[in-house]
Amino acid sequence: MADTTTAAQADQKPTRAFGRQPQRGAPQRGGARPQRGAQEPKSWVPVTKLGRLVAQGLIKNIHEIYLFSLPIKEFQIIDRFLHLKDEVMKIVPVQKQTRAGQRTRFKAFVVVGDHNGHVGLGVKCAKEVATAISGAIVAAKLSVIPVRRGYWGNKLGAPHTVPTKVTGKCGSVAVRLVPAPRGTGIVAARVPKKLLQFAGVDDVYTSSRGKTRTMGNFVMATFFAITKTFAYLTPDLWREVKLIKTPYQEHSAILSEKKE
Amino acid sequence: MVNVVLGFTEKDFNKSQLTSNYFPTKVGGKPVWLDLSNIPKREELFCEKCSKQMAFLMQIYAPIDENEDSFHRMVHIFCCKDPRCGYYAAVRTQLPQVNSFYPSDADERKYDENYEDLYKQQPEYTKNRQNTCDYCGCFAKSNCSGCKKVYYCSKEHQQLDWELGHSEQCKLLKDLNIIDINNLEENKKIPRKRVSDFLFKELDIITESLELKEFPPPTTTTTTTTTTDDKNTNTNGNSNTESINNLKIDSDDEYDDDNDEDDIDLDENGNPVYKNEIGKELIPTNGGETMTNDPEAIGKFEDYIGETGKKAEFNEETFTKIKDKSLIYFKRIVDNDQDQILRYSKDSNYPILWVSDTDQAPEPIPQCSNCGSNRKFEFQILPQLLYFLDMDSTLANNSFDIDFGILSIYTCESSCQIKSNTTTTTTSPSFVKEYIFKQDFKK
Repeated sequence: MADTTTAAQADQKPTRAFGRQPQRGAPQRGGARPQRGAQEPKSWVPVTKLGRLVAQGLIKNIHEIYLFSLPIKEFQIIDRFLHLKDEVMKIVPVQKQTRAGQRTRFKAFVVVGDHNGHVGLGVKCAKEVATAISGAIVAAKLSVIPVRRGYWGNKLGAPHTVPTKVTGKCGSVAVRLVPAPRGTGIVAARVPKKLLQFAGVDDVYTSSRGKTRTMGNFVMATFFAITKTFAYLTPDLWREVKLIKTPYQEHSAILSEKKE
Repeated sequence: MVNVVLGFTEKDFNKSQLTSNYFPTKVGGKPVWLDLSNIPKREELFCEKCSKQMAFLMQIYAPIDENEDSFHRMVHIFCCKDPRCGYYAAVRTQLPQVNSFYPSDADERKYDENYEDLYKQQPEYTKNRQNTCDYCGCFAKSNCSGCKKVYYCSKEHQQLDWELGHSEQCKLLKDLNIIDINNLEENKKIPRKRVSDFLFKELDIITESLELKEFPPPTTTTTTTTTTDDKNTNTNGNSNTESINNLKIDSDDEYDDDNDEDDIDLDENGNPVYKNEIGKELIPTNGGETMTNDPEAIGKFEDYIGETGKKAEFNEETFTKIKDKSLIYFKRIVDNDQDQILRYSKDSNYPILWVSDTDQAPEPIPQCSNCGSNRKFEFQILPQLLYFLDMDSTLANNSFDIDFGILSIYTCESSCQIKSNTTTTTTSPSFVKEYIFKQDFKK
């Protein structure tokens, strides 16, 4: 008896669980949601705390984030602050041996930068070229780093070259950047020259060693060298600076101030 | 075929529909209880670490068809306001179909226009209902002595509510004969109260069902390099990986990110080019301590160390090798529906979304404290919820500072009924606590 009634009910209504509603006479609330096919450009919903602070506009400058070395996990944060140009440096096919023959993928190297102190480098491997390029652009935006520029000689005008000699190494390739006088231009091979142009460095001498034909290592090595410009402690940074609060502390509800 | 139900927040909603009679699924505001004769008391909802009352985050109405005790079933999520605690609690209540608060066909009747009249005409459904605190929504012991129409759970909440605006309302409420507290905002004669900062912003949740098409790549990559007898090797042994391989449709290599150790470059003609690893001996591995006494050599060597910064803590691996696969999968899935806040799936094949490879849920999930049976994953809450809760605030108004990566809720498999305590003198607990696990983003 109970079985037949439940069976009859099952025919009339779907099973009751979260999200499954019986037929409605009232207008569907769910109808307000756009169809899955018609995608208008999606507005970004931040996921991390830093993303939420940026989306609300509480962080004015990206250097507030760089100062505290906070990990940036969403590339839309970078998009908010900087207008970056991107360029694909190389797309190289790579293969891997599998049980069913070879699997070919495409590896894309993309460099992004604003030609004025920020560069990023992204590498992405994917089965299709377009996917690899768009993935590499996202990876590049996530790796954007500030570049410190200095002077070769007299401190006149705007900084134009690397502040000190720096070198970066990746694999067997070591790239050394040396300050150069104004007007020299970028004295480098094609690959690091592109990166340095995007960084906004005007004049620099370079010296490289190792198997520079492996483009991946070559471009990584010069990227690491550029990164080290801000890691190098020069005498003009000796003066002690007052500690300021991290963006998390500054914008949090300061519970200690509230009276319980 | 794995089905998952996604939840999205909705700002425009009918406030009166988010009350007990409608079995709402919602975020924020005051908690709406199912079993109205056994409403949780304030003391049951204290944070275990700081012993302050927890704030109500969200609730979902998730009935189970097979179990007749859980014809109506609600799961409430509470969180401690203090970010240093980081304590979350998941609480489950349920009712059978025949009960003393709602008619047996309430689930269909709630869409009718005269659903509210039903309760007015049949007072047996409302007479046993306990009162809830006007400030926080818990069980209310006492009422305001001025108007006697508003209830509070504790003196603190009465004082807070008085300051929020009940002081202006009290006298006016005393004179009104028929009080419907829910319609208080519509009654123009009574001044409105300010919104308390104890409650989160109230939002409705609408759901959408989705078939999961993308699965995470398996964590252990079994790369076999045998070229012969490929069809035969998989019949024995590797049946588990085969079933996993059948599940992953596209994700095998597409997003097997930069697993480049096996990759060989090809030049223009398609011939493989092998990279040479020379020069590893360039860097001395003894931490920079020199052996020679030649000052020039030492000078050059120290120059080199200074330039390369080998002693600086710059980690090259952040760019190349270490990829958090869980985070990559998370970003990919979330990208399809950026504003989802809830993922519900009772399917045991559902790949639980994590935000980091480390600190995932402990493997032996604690068993149900009420009946001892195993707990099973039910749903998870995504961090986009925090974005929707903050939307109108300057941070001065927002007294919450909570942050999480993902919250996963595991509930009792048998959805057991609350056992009544016959040994103690206190009344039985109003709910069953379920296991909630919080995972943060990796720093």
